[in-house]
Amino acid sequence: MIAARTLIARHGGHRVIGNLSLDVADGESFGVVGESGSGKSTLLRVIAGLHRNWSGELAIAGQRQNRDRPRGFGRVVEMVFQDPYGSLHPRQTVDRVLAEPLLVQGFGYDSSRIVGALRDVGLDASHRFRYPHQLSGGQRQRVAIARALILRPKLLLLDEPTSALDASVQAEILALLRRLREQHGMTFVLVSHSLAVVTTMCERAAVMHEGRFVEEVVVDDLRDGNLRDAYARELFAASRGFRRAG
Amino acid sequence: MTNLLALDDVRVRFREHEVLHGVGLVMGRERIGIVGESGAGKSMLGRAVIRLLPPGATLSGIVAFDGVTLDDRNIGARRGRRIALIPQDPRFSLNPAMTVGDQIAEVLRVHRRLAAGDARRETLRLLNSVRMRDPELVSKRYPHQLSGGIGQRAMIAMMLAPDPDLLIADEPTSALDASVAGGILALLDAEVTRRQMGIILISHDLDLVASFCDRVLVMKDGEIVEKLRASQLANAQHPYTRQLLAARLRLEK
Repeated sequence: MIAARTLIARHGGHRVIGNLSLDVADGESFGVVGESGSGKSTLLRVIAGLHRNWSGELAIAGQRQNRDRPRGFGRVVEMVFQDPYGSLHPRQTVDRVLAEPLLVQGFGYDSSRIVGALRDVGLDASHRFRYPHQLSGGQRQRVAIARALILRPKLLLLDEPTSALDASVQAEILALLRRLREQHGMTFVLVSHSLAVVTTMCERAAVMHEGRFVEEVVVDDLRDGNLRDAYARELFAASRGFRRAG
Repeated sequence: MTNLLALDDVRVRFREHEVLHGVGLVMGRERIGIVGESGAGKSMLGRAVIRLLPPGATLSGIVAFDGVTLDDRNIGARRGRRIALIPQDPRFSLNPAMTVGDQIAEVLRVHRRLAAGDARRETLRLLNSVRMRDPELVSKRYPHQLSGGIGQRAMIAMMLAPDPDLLIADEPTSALDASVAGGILALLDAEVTRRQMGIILISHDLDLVASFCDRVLVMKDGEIVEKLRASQLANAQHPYTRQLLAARLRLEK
């Protein structure tokens, strides 16, 4: 689904991704863990075509990509962002939010697809004409997921999809994403600071640090701490939580 | 022995809407953890203790600190001096227009009545005590020039400066990366033990509270639904606590 070689991305003059290779198979769920500033969100934004200052080779679904993405790219690749408060237009109803991708991609307004997309994420028609501020954080993230999935993309990019949510809501959203992936046979690339989220959601993962993958492992090794790289081991130890001294 | 802190029927109301419904708590110089999800009233409870509530909120009930019932007149001599609050993100709580060193020195001049030169020396000593690599450099920095971890260390140094008896830490590491959070918690752990302080640790993280604290209070919708010893968290009875426990993502299988 994704093949990247010698990928470099910059913010201004600063290199945030340095010479990175990435291979994600069709139908796979691949996780990227790292701390703030590691470049993990920028990597997703390069794949999504949102970050333009990059070089290297990138192929998505067998198509070589340039800075400008081809027509219909939005039907293949969609993205869900961290903050459902910031990623939905505050003055658009759920109906309008979900209609947007249909209109942009030339399918026209389709009421049944909107209702279907809502049902897919566990919402119903009663949520359709509400504004984002009338929804809970979890419901908003469900709407953001419905918007990303309404065109049935092959590849879904998830940038800390549950970091802004309470633990019980996080569990619901992760279960929803797992179910939808199975139903629709999607490929996931999920970025998170949480090792636990990645081990719950993915089959393979990379530990990212200062713009590079310092280690790539199957998630069992991530869960068990079977890691060779010094930074990856440090992150694993820190993620196991606080232990009181006395 | 008098209790360090005793709350009785503490309520917070915004007009007719009550957000804290009669909370009671008695604690000594021990470690109390408050857990719950957003909107449970955890922060409101912490702020009710020091009477630092948002505009429009009204407080009722009794908050007694070290045997004295707190009111709007006597809180001033205790807030910051004997009861300190460590907020979630220091970059929003420190004064953005003042260097870190000047802010800590001000605390020392006001609360400990130190002269300017002594306050400066004590500031550097405090920054050193929170394991800052270069106290001199950090003291000359403005808050926006600090990373999250360094900012939180500076905040802790400032809050510990008057040698308080009770520390209220409101999600002190939630805005930090895991590798940084560990160091901050170890620092808090060591200082609370060394100074024999009481601490109220407010957090959404059950595992953190269970390992850091002696006792845990579980809050939901403005009420304490369960109180238990931290070591007994796994045996919690209340359905909501059980639900929180079940929702945890564990790294281990």
